[in-house]
Amino acid sequence: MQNRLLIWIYCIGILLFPGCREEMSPDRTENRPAVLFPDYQGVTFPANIAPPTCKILEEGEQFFVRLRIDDTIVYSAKNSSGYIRIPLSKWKKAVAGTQGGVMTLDIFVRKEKGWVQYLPVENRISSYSIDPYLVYRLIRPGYELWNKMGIYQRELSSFTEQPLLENKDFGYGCMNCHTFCNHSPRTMMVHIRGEKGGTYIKTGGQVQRVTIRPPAPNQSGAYAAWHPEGRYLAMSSNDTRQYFHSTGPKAVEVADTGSQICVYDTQTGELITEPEINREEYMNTFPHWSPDGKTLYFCRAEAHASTPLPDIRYDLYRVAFDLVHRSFGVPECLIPAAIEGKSVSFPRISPDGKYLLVTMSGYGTFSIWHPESDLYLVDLATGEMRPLDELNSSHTESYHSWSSDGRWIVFSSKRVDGLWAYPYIASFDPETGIAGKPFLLPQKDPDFYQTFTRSFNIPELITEPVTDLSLFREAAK
Amino acid sequence: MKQAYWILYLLLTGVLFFLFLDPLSHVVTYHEQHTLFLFNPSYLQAYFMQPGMSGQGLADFIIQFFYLPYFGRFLFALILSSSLALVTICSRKLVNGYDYLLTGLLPVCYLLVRYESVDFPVYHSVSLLFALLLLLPFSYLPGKWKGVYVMVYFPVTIWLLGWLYPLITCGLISLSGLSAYLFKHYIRRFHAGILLSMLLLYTGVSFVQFVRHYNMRERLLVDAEQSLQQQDWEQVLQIAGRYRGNHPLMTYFRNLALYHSGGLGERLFDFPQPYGVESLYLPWRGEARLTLFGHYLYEHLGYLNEAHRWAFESLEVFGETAPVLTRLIRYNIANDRPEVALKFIRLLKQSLFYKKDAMYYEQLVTHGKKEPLYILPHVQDEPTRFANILQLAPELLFVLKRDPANRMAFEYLMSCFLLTNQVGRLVEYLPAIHALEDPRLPRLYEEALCLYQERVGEDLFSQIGFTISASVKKRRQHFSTLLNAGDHARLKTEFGNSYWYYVSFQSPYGNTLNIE
Repeated sequence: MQNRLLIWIYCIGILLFPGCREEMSPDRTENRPAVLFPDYQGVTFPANIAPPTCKILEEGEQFFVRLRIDDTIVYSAKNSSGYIRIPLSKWKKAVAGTQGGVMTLDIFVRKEKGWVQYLPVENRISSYSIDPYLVYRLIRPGYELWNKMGIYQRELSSFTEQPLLENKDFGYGCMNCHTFCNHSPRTMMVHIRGEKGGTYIKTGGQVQRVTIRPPAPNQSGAYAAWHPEGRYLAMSSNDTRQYFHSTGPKAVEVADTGSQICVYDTQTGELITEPEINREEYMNTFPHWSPDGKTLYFCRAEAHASTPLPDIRYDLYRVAFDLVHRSFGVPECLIPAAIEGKSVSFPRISPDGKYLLVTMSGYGTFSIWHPESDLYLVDLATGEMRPLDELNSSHTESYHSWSSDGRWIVFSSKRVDGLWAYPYIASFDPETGIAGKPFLLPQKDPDFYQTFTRSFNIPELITEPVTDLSLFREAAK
Repeated sequence: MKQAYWILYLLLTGVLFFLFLDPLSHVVTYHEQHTLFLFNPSYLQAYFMQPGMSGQGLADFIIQFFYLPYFGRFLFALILSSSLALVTICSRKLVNGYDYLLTGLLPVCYLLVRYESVDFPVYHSVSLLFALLLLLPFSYLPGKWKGVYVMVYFPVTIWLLGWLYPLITCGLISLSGLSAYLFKHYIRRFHAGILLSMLLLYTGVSFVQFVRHYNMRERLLVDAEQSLQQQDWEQVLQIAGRYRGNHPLMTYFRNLALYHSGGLGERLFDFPQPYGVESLYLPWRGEARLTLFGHYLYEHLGYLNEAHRWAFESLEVFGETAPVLTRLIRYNIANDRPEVALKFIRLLKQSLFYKKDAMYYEQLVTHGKKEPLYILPHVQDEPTRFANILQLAPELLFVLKRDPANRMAFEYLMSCFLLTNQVGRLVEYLPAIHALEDPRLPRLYEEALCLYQERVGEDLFSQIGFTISASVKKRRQHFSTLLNAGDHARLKTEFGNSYWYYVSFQSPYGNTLNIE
């Protein structure tokens, strides 16, 4: 009787827990790794990232995966769909035991003639964490009309995404250009257009809705950057137009017909402009402060409203800013991209001040619509600039930003299908100036990026979650 | 009496079915084309895991069955009519009496009249039905469990559907129950007469309201678009002929059908063109609703980038619906953007009834094939050209330059010039007719040439390389005679469809010709 009971328990155990104990003996091996989507092979994951769910894109009847650290199997599963969905708890446990080391994924696919084992997939788990939250706007890569849009916050250690601001709470206006001071949401701003439009500035636990009148007509506030001390907001005001290609696979072109730079004092409400910088023959945009707040970087094109679009190219400039006297020095050209037949956008300096990351495209200001747009890295000590080949693809790379410790870069890339921009994360070694292979932000559903029709716009890493969202709605009233 | 209610219910369902088969057929079609239920986790989560959204999710689920012409209409009829059945059953069980006031008909009649407009959402009736279905067990439960059920019913239903539907449901059941109670205990006579009277009252009022609110124009617009999609040009013209008054969309559809049936150069002025050149296209003004229609002209021209722009804007406005996704798939396949097409194909594959279409397009992409959808060729090294999204003529000129044999571009261009009194430009671009398969001059162009000849004189006219037929000249003389005599009645009767009449009396740009 007792033996029979034990046999039953054993059989039930075998039935209930096959994955944990299953051994796999392949019938043959394949001399290449399996194709995965998203491509999570040879990447370096932050210590606190969510599990990289993906799908095995190999033909087969059944799939078996085994996640291990050295010889210790952390997780295994068999299914017929090819999806790899590592439970969050198992992943966190695995990562905790692997920081600084390598995690290996063994993949087996059963085909007609038996099980095939592919070369193991190895990924490194960094001993560094990434800022825990990523904020982005979700928007269709459309043209003129918009409907629902919002700015969302994703907790990177899980799959939780929370809406921060949705335009249904603001009269369905357009919202954009969320900007944080030193990666902290305690000081932040966002533009909202439409009925409840304005610049919403959060400082000192309060949100103010202000109307900042741009220095020139037909322009409206666009790109902004917080001074590291949190009082001044450098902004560009742009007169932006859209154009639509008549034929060919390129859809849209966006260009400014005028743009200027100013600095907004959030304490006094004063707008500081410098006529020498904003001369008529120039279009200035994309302001960005150095980490010490003494220098303002921006992009400048010698152009005006009637300059043919393919001839508009931006150089990178910088100008000293005197905090005491609130005045600017003489602008100095750092990257004369126009001479090289290129155009610079989105200067972003690493938090340690050593590196400058920019996007370079063939012309124009809206690099996200240019397939040739690539990321470039400038060593500010030596002045050397190189394309970040380890991050770039044959499609658009743009909207990059640094993590607060400068060890991670997040950027938008259209490499999946050429139209939608999705967020990629890559490790960065400040000692060598070399980035790791980028990986797509993990999602709970491995098929997410196959069907999601919105772009992740301006991904920004922040060190703590945005809270007190009701303050924004209150300010809108 | 029980049988009477069932007969009434069946009759009601039948009547509603008939209405959805014919007078309200366009409503069912409209909803089906504007909703797409997708079997994917994030779609399901957006509806069924969010408070108050389950009604919409259920409605979208049901609307997908509107794809089946008869079953879908029957289903819709059943959803509406079931309010009567459920309210009656509930009150019967609660009070053990009959509601001779037919309270259950109130929501049916109200919703029927509201559903005459395509803008009235289906989820109202679905949510009400669902709320009633959830309340049904309440009437079967013994006394002490009723209280428990109510305590569960309200929070659950409010979370699922919002507060309105449980409130309405309870109101209806209460009214019906009260009515049944009154008839059972106090009004013990003339039940049949009261029942019949109420039935007549509901029928009468509903009929009057139905006829009053029936939107024939809306129906004709929906039907015209359906016929356009099916390329039944004669049907489009027929429907346009029944449309009273003017509407930019109907004029636009009609002119498309006119072109495709070979009549643009001959019969353009057989129909009113009250919007001038804007009778030919939908100018871009950022109007959300019109984004659904602007692509037709450009697709037929082969100007697919512009068609794609319209389709993408409609994606933003209306979301992922089958017609929008299908357009985007086709345009992106034609424009060598297979990865983009695949994204839309994968979405369409998640639907129930369009999966087959999606798989067809997937096969095309996988095998590197294309549909026979004409696309204007792209010249790689030519300077970039951007679309003029506000005006049609420059775009037509571009299309014609890129493809001189594009008859549609030519005829639409000529029509642009005719409608805007630009006879000089018509003459300037008329030689492009020689590149077409059939270079014969349509009547309206000859009529325009007549006017041109009168303005510039015989010497200059003889240099343009075109002649005017004797019959057209004779008609012109007759027109002039009548015009000088001021005989407007005969002018309208005999020349109402001529270019001369349009320029003299109808053109929104006045009666001055532009000869330059």
